[in-house]
Amino acid sequence: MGCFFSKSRRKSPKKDSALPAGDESATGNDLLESSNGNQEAPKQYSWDKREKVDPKDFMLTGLKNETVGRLPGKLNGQQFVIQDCENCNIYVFDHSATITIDDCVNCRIMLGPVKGSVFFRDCKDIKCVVACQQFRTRDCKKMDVFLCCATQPIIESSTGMKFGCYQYYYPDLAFHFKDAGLSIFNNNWSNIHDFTPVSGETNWSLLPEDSVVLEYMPLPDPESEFKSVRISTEANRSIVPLTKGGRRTESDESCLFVFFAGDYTTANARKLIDETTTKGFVLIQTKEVSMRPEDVNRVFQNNAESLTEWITKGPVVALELNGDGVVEACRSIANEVFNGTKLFVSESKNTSSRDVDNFFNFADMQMGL
Amino acid sequence: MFFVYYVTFSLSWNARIFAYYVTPLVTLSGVSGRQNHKMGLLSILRKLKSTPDQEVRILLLGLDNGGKTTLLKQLASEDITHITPTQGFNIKSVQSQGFKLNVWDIGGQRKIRPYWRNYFENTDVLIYVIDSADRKRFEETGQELAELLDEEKLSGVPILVFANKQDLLTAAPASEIAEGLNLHTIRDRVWQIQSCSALTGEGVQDGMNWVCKSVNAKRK
Repeated sequence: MGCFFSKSRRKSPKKDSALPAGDESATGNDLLESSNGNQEAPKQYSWDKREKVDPKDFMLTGLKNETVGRLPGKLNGQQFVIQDCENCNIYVFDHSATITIDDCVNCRIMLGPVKGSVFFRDCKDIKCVVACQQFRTRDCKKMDVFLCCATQPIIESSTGMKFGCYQYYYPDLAFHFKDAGLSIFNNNWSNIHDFTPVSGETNWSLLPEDSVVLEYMPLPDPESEFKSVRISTEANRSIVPLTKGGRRTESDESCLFVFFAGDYTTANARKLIDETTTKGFVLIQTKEVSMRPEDVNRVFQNNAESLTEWITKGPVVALELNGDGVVEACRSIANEVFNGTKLFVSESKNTSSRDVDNFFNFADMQMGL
Repeated sequence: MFFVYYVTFSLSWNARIFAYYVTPLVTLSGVSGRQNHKMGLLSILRKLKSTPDQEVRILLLGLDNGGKTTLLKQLASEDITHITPTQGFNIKSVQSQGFKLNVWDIGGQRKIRPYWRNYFENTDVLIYVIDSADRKRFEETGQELAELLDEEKLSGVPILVFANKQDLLTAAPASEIAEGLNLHTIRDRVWQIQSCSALTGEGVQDGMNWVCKSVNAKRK
């Protein structure tokens, strides 16, 4: 890596004063310490004590025309770095802390759940499937991204960026989402913030709704080390529910459906999605968020004591469903399929828009700061 | 009895949306409930020997994705598992017994760095946050830091460099970063480099202790 940076523009002193003696982790120019004399023992932090690993084990550098990546369990939450790759199929089937991807061209990249940020820089012609807390790009061109992002994705100085809803499955993926601290219900894939918008043009757009993931992100070469990973890109197998997000809807009628925390919350939400999509209704958005007692009245416009008690058990999972007759359909599903489950459903199509707005505005505020 | 409240502002330049949220008023009498958050904003405020009605202003700068907002949230003892890239800026204010502390966290994307200068005035201490594990951008961050140190409006302002993300595998140690940044050539102000993990909090308190000392020293 060599010696990096520092184009110091300050006048260089006649003679460098010696570094104040002390630990590696904190050094300064000591102008604050008056004639104190006491030299504290160098402080040891956890990173000073941990076992040293070879950074190269967590990097992919300069590869061409290859199928590479990591099998489940090989990263185990560590940082990963991808750089200078060309015409590669890259599969990271594990959860990680953060991933940077630099100077890659014509690659197809599958990134398992990332706890922190995924940052693409100076990349071109990329097709990828990514799940992360933050999604960032700078100086990128022509990227197709199937995304699950917990916060608003951002792009800078990038063009030809296209986004679709995350759609992927492999056996350990659900665990990897948990390990990365990501909720499958918190996915802001369709509202991108552009730091460098150009008037008259858009640097980003949405992928066609009927995009076939396999056409973008192929399965790994059956001769490769990844042949053992049983992948599915089918919509109904996706770990992350497919949401319409910002795409235009055909109906004006929406319904708010909220599951309160319990043992089967995720399974119930999936079941509801199955039941409603089978009937032709559309899932717009989902959110998993904690609520406090004072939020209940504002959000549900309902002082029911049970609601206030239910929210203390854990985060709620809320879904917005859309379609003509969706409220009636949801209410009857609630009765027939979810009898006894702690939930909230909009009462009528007169009040349901307000329910949806109240809830998701609250959730956005809660999670935006 | 005294009052402490957190005021949080977020501003997005592009969208010109201005929203501010006031988290609930917390009334304290006698011993603070937050006493065990040693590095918290309130305890920092208490360590500052400001005269009444004085404001202490801390500016948090650094490249995008460096961990500035995580640091800010950590200082405020808030949830750090769900943080959005900063589009404008974040500010946290703590007030107690007539003393006020403002910490400004400004977005670091290349496009919006020209706006940094809008926040220089009256800064008491600059905290510069570096992603120690993003070696590809060491040169860029060194350059931005060098420019800040040349700024008229920041002249003489103490600077704390947080070598952040030490929890990550490829993180360079603070000594390596200090050398690459040529920190030892800084003559015109007090400075400190401190390795930390804003995510876990480790090292943060040590850095903030220096911040308090530097502010108090300057006001003598």
